[in-house]
Amino acid sequence: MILKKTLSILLIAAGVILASLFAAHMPPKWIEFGCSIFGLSVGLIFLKVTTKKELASLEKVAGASRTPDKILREAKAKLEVLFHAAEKSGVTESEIEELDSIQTVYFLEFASRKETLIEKYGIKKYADFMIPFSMAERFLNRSISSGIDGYYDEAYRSLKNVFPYLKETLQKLEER
Amino acid sequence: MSKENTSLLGQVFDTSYPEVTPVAVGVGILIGIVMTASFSYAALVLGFSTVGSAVAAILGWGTLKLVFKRGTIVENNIVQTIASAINTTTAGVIFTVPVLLIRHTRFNIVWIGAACMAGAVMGVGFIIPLRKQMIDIERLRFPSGTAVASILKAPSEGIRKSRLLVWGASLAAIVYTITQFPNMGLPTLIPATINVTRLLGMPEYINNTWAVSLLGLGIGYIAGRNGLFVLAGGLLAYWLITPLVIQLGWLPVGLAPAEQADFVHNHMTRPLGIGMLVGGSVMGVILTLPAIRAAFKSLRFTGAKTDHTEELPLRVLYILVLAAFLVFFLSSYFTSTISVVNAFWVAVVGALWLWLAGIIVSQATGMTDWTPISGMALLAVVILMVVLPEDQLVTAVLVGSTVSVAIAECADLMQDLKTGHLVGSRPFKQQTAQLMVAWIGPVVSLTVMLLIWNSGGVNPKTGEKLPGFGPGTSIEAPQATALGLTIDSVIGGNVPKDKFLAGGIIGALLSFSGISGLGVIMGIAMYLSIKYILPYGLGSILAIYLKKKKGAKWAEDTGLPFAAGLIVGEAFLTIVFALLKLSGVIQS
Repeated sequence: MILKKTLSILLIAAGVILASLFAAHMPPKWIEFGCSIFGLSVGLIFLKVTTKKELASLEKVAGASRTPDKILREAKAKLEVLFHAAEKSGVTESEIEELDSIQTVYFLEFASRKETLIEKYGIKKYADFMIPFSMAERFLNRSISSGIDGYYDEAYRSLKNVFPYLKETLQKLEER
Repeated sequence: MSKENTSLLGQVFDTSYPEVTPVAVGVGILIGIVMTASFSYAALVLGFSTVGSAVAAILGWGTLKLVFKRGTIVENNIVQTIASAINTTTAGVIFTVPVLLIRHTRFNIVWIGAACMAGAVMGVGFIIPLRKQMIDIERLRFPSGTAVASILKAPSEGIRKSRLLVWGASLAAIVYTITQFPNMGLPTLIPATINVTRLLGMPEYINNTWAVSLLGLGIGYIAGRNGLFVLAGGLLAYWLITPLVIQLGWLPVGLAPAEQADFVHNHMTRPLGIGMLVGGSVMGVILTLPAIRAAFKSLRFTGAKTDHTEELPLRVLYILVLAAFLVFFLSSYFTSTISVVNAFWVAVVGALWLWLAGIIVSQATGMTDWTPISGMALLAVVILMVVLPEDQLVTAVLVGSTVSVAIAECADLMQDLKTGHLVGSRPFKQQTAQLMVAWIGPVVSLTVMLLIWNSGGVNPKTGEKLPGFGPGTSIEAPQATALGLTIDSVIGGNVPKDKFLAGGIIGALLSFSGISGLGVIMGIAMYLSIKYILPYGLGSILAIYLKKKKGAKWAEDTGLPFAAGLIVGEAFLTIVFALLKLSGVIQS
């Protein structure tokens, strides 16, 4: 698998370098350019196939330990604990710090898997769950900002707004 | 508050958590006008312009806290949104319109101004619906936008992050000041650029020049992995293609060795880069059409789970864009001598290109922080020449300036919306603020331009009016002069269409690599100067290394505020030194 991937990348790199070189000639050397483009295209197809296979085998190895939905569920559970505490005694400074930490650890980790998520779910479904996810993330950010500024009512309201969007994200992730 | 009983305007000024307040709007406009006036003058004299989101954020924070004793994070975000919305159009106006004055061409300044204002509104109106696609779905990094969010939050997030920001800013300010020693009559301790080619005795055609720019390093750090691809594109253009072309003897006969590398960049790799950028971006849009459709669909339901409007309604945008298009069409007709039909086609093609170029530059800015305005303006003129083959300098400048202003607004709004996402601002409020003030920048820049032009005085012998700027005067307007030469070259048919096409094919194919925007990133790297790419790439390598060594949380909590400090420190000092040069305190 690694060898195939390396070969694909080498083919792509060679294709880009040669295509750019032959295109740079005045006027471009179109036949040589066409051959380089063909090589680049073959490399891209190989890369696509190997990446798909690699993703499938990685999922088998990793099992269900750190799947994207698991990351979000963990984040939701932690946020719920904080929200219930805030319901009883209001939002506090330490909770704002905790929210900041959840944002940095869980939300950023989920979002950083963009290319894997697109490969796995396709661009349409990826867009469908990233829209509510980003809404949830923005409300979390608003909760943190307003909390830092001392507007605890707004921090509470914004935190409350995170949950419906997080729920929608998880629902869309699970839709087949 | 419910949507049913609260007007859109009422929601803009809702004060449950102060965001759009009269003070924020006033301070934003004031900072924006002052920055635009200063940068317009600097752009005429030095050919220098910069967008000041980071600087505006610091000035806004200082003004709100010290003068008004107030200011929330999102309120300050509105200040910088407004200030940069006004300031961002400077280059679009000052690098284009003065060419008409320099060449003593007859034109109507009011219609040129109207076209630029219409361009600003169209740019904002066209790009707003793509916020979800670029920020929520594509997750573009917008390094400066990310840095500004860090700047906005740092003072309130505790002493540690503030210190990191200040250390970064101080370090960048000190290093920048030292690089400017020769201009102050002091010995060179650190040069502004380091020519490693000469130091290592490498052949002259391998350009290994480094700008001593901690700002570039900071932006590269925030760009992260994308910076590696920028570096790869730069090395491909400067360290592979250029030496190969020279060694293979593909250059015109009689070119001096010192001119060879520049020739390859200007006539070969740069147009190839522009082609890759456009091809990569267009294919990127095609491949993400399902995502764009989903984003548009969701615009209709945005805010359904909350009690307020999240995005500016599409119907408002349609009306504003249509009105702006009408102004653009009328300007095309009344500014030059073309027929109504030709003016209509100029407006249609100009508006379509403006929309596409807006997407291209926003994507490029989101991935790398570089906004290739001049390349897009050049293509606007090329396209215009296809629509309108007659020699029409005024129309070319009109379209060029309108497109430049519009795409600058697109890129700036997306940067600001990224900042807004990170600090939890409501997009609806930022979008409304930007739309309200986007037209101010061209008015300020054109006023400054006319004032300077009319300050030329009169020749006492002939009674002839003397130009206030242009070649042969103390204010050379270098960028406008260069644009004039480019337009002449395009009108003369000297357009590297074959390079654009070949680059477009490579860029489009790279969009299938699985790496988002690879064609766009490599294209912009081939288009830019290597001296900025190298520190940028180093910043990116540092980010990847530190993230691996210290973890993602350290990279965000410690590395990011420091990198943001590097950006703001050098940006501030660049402006300070430009003002010192203008006032004659130090040498130009």
